[in-house]
Amino acid sequence: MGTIVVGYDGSDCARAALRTAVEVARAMGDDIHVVAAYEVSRMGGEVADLAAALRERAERIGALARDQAAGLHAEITSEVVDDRPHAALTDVAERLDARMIVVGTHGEGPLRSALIGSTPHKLLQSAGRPVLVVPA
Amino acid sequence: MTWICWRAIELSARTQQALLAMEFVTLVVFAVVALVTVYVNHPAHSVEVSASWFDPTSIGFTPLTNGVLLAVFIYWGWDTCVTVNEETEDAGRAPGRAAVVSTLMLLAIYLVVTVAAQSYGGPGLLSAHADDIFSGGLGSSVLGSGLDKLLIIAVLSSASASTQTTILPTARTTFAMARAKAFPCRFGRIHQRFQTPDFNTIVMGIVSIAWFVAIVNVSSNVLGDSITAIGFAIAFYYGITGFACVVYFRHELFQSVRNFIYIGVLPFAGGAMLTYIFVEAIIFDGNPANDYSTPILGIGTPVFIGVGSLVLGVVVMLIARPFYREFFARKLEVADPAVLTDDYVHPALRDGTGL
Repeated sequence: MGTIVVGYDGSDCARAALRTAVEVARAMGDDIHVVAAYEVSRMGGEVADLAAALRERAERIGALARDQAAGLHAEITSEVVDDRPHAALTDVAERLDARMIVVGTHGEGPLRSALIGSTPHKLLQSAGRPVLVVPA
Repeated sequence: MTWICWRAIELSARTQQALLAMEFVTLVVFAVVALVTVYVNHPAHSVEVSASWFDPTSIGFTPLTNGVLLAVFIYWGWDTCVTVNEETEDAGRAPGRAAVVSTLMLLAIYLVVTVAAQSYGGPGLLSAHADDIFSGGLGSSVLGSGLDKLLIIAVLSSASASTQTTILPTARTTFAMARAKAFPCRFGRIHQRFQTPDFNTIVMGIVSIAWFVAIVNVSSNVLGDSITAIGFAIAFYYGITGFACVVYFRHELFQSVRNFIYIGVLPFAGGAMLTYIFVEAIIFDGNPANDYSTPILGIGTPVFIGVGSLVLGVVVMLIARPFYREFFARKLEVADPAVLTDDYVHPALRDGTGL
């Protein structure tokens, strides 16, 4: 028995990722741990309010994930991490010695990913373990 | 720029770093080449650097006041360097250290470039091309034709960086106000995927563009005057921040000599200086003779725009009062003493890495 770590932001592709993760976990007999990560950019000042709002939002997203999982008759654990999503997922997966990380993708091209920063792309380089990328 | 601020936090930070780096490198190259040329080739009109340039007492009182006023304007926005410089590992100390480093870097850049330009061209050339010193012959003769275009890059990248740092903080400030229930709650929303205050960012972008287009169409002189007018707003809010610091930490002021100096005397002195400059500036710019454009209602245009917008703010606040009762009912608050300890990290930022 292992753990599958899922990156979740409440979007359609995150929901698709959690659905796939539930299927894989069933087949493997694994646990699912959902991570809602958020990044607070210091640029622009007035950080405290934005950070508080982002944390509240991430907590709501964790609750959304638990609701979705309940709908799929699966039990999950979740946590909120204040870090860039790919770093948060890498760290949590390391801590739990996860079997794999599952994330959704919005299907961005390589140029857009490089410019704007795509979590799946970065994750592939930082994760150090299997990553499953699920399109919406 | 609005798009970048709206779409991606990461891209915003990287754009800002790239733009500042370009500007920094170009200006350093310019200053070094100019100074080396002065001491090696002694071009016509060049003057060697002299200690008297750095003596503020030698120029008299009025020029000094005007100089400080200009300085307030050119230091405006230094807080952006703070955020760009900020290290991410040590959220407790890094911001303070970054602020000091940024200020010193900014001072060094201004000082070195000004000294280099004055030394190379002599005071005559500088005052003859006061509007645009780089294209006024200084750029091409220092760096040679072709390379002088680098200076245009410095100006453009500086302008773009400033544009970005106009949109970001105003979006953040209105966001914080909306969360404090002092602004429409629409402004307290975060974009589902991009995690930025999207509505605020777009509104601020549109307002900036509309203001600029409107002003430019009136006349470029009004543009010049409205830039002077920004100085009033800056002096006002930096000044009030100094006084607010003393009030907010009033219970901690007399706990130690260190507290008294750092959260009492220095911020108050800063506030008092800026208030003084604010008043001096009203007297100087209120005189229509010092305007770029025709005075409005007999008042100098910068004072009309600068002080007028502050007065307008008071009017809007009075109108908003009945709509935001909860916010206006708040009592004068006191700082948490823990804020002053070395390892303090704001609760919202704890166990996080930031940027």
